[in-house]
Amino acid sequence: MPGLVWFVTRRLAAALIVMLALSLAVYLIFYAIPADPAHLACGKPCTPDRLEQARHFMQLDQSTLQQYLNFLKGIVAGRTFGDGAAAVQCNAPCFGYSFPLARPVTTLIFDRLPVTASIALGAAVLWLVLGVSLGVIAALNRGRLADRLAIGVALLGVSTPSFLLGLLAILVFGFWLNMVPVSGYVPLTESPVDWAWHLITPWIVLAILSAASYIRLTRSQMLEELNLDYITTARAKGAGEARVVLTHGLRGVLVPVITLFGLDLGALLGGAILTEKVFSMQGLGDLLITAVGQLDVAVVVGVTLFSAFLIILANLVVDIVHGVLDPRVSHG
Amino acid sequence: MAEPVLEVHDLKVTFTTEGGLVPAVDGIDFAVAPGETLAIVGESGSGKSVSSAAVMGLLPSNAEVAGEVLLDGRELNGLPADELRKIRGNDIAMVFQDALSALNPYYSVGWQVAEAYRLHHDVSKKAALRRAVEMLDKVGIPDAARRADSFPHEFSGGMRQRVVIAMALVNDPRVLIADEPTTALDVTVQAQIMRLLDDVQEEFGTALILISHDLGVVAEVADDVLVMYAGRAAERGTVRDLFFRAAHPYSLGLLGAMPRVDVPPKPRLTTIPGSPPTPGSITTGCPFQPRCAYTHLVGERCVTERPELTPRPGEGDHEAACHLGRRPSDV
Amino acid sequence: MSDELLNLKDVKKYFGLRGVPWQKAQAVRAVDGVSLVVRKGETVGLVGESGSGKSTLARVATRLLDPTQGRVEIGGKDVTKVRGRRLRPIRRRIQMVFQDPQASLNPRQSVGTILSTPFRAQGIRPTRAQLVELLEQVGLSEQHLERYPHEFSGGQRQRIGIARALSVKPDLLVCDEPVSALDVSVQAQVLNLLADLRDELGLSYVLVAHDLAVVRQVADRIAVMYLGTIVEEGPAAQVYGAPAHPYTKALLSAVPVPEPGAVRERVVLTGDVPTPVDPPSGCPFRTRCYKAEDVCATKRPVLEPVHGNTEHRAACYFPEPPTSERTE
Repeated sequence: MPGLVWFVTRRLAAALIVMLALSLAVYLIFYAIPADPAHLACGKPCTPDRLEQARHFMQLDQSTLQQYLNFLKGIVAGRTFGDGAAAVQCNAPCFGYSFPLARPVTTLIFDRLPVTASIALGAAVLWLVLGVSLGVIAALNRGRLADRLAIGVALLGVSTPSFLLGLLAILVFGFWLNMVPVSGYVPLTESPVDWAWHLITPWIVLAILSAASYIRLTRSQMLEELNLDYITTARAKGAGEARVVLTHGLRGVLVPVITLFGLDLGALLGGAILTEKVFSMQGLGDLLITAVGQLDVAVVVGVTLFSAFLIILANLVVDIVHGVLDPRVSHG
Repeated sequence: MAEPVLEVHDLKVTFTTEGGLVPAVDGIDFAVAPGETLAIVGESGSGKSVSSAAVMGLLPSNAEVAGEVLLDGRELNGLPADELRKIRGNDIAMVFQDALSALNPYYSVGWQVAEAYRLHHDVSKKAALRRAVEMLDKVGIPDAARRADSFPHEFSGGMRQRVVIAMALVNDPRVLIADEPTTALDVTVQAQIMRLLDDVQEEFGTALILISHDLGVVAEVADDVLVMYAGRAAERGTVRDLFFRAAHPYSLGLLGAMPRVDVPPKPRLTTIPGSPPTPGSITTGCPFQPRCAYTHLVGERCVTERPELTPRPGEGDHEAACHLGRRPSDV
Repeated sequence: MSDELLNLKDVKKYFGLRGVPWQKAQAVRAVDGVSLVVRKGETVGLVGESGSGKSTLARVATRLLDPTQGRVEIGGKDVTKVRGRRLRPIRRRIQMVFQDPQASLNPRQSVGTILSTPFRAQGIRPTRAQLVELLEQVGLSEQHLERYPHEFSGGQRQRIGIARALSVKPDLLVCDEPVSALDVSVQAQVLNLLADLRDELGLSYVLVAHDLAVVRQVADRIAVMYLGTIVEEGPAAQVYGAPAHPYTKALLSAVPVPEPGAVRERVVLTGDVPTPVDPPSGCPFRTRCYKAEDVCATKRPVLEPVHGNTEHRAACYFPEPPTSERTE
């Protein structure tokens, strides 16, 4: 066990360093663009005086380095924008302040997170189940019709643009067949049934799109796995085919599949932009796109960093899970 | 031989491949009685491993098995899958060559041995695990109760092989097939494993089929030997028949080609020129003919007519598939 | 001195293990102090089980690995620190033949290309005649030049490997398990080939193998290794006929002989070979030895002449008495 603790500590420290470097890079990129954030925050009419006020409020009159340090301080201990009566307190962790939306970025992110999380988690479970099942079926029926069908579905998923599939789904199931609502998000706390009902179409759409890589990965891993000697041993012990495939074969396939799953999920939690737009759900992706359009730099930086954090976290979790799933890694 | 527990008659295994039909095993017979050991000897392409896999019903779907496989008189070849499953690992069990790849790396050894037991006995997981620990202890794994939770890669080669043997024996099989069980092991460990198999055999009366290319191991443990070449039987008899009265040029060649550790070496080993044929490449006559040093004494017959196992004059159960008619060493 | 082709002086090879920082980094002591001399015309057999360090020693001897400590002299020259291009002239004198003929031949190269490579590494362009001569020396023929490794059997591939090693006309061939991957009948062919080449070309060998019978067939001197050290060495007839070290005795008695009913004194060792990471103090064999005493744990025994015979040495405080077994 001490090995595992040390391992996790090392990875956390590395993750922290990556986050720091990333925050600097993102900060520099976004604050180097020509558009002037102060201009946007400045109301109408925008006199040079008011512009100056806005710049001071947003602390843009300080050096870039100082701004960056303020930013870091904000994450750890919170910061204050402006001074005097018009001062705005941004509590830790403070990822910046969106002037167009007049809210701390952190609040915006956590407001939108449930939406994105609902979409992502539901779709993820679906695509994992779908992808692995089809992959196993394909492997067991290698060369036959079932195999070709599964690969066909995979190909469909990989080649179809997400918005096209989404729009088609809305059109067919929402309008023509009138089976599901066509847009909008209902929070889980309000009504679980409605929540699920509104989400079912984006879930299925996302699942089809993402299942592709799982179908192929599971299939190829399974084919390799079934050639291994211990599969023969299982048969020699008198195990039925179902047991051989599921208990012995699938176990070895799990490791790469779970690894991929963790990474995919981490990335998706950062915001499935197109899907959210198509289904009119206000998640992180939607937030990001709007912010880009409005040059709301604080939000863009904040959401980018948050997504990066999720991906790094996903990587770490995946590494640990890998160590747990494969005893050869964790024991000796 | 006492009443055999396993009898195989005219076993033929043909694989359907892209290149056509490949006859890996072309009509062999053997039998083994309780408490006795039959060694099946051969080199690459001899079909020895395929034969044992055929007995267990472990061949891939592109293999066609013909002939009789009788376990206590009951025909196994052609049994429905679920019937065969009840016998595999239960009445007939197998020990494989490479214990590291034969064991599932993701489950503990205790779990794997217990699984072998649970597959054939309706017991709780706890009861099965207890039996597994009992077995692991019996095969000489120290501190078995604790080590049952360990994973295969945490054991040394010799210990792993013991685990595989425990897994095979947990259901007290009538027949144990060991396919090159010691080839991957160090020689001192090999000696331990062979002694273990011997002890087990004495205690349980298990019939042992040992597949090996190592004539030294065969000489030490086997009662009867079947020498296979290119999917066919070359010679069959007791172990003494083979080593002291070899009747087939191939057997004699093998014996002469083996270096020995206990006598001063000859300046040159007797070699058999060429190499074993790929399965299916020889369709008429004796498969050993291209490499045989005695074929000129027989003539055309070796090429045109396939020799069948015929008893050696005055030696009852000792048979060889050779047109020569007398012992090659008498020539 | 000039007939000393290979001289290893107290060679050690440790592989570092990365542990957690608060544990001292452990080293795998693959070779833990070995001295060996190979003279012209000799065939030295290096035997041992897994973890004995024999393969590592072979690689240090051919300078495929750097020794952690000790000296390596080839042809009288100290080559311990020599690296890279400066090793080329050394490679002319000592070559290696590997175990797995399938893995050691580049599947994408024709036999002709494979055989030419050592020449070109030395800056020579071989003629077709030279390549054919090499092939014929190992029992193959000109028609094989254009073929690819996968078209050959295991035995033939091993011959190609040997031909490749012979291309630069070395004095010493180090063969690491040259026949263990081969069928018995093919094994005999390759062993005979090695013997023939020794007679025809005056080659010397270091033959590394775990199969004691194979080694007895070709070697005139034997060194038995256990956990990185040589525990016994001497003329083959003496080591096999009257082994002095308990390990050698156990090892030999464990090898089954192809003679049913042969009466043999069996020494069966308990337990498995300990790992080279944490060898026992004193004599490395004492944990499995049937005659270990207290003194064996104190200091590691060094190779001492057995019964006054300086040719035959064993590292043991209680060597076996000479037996009346078959001796020459």
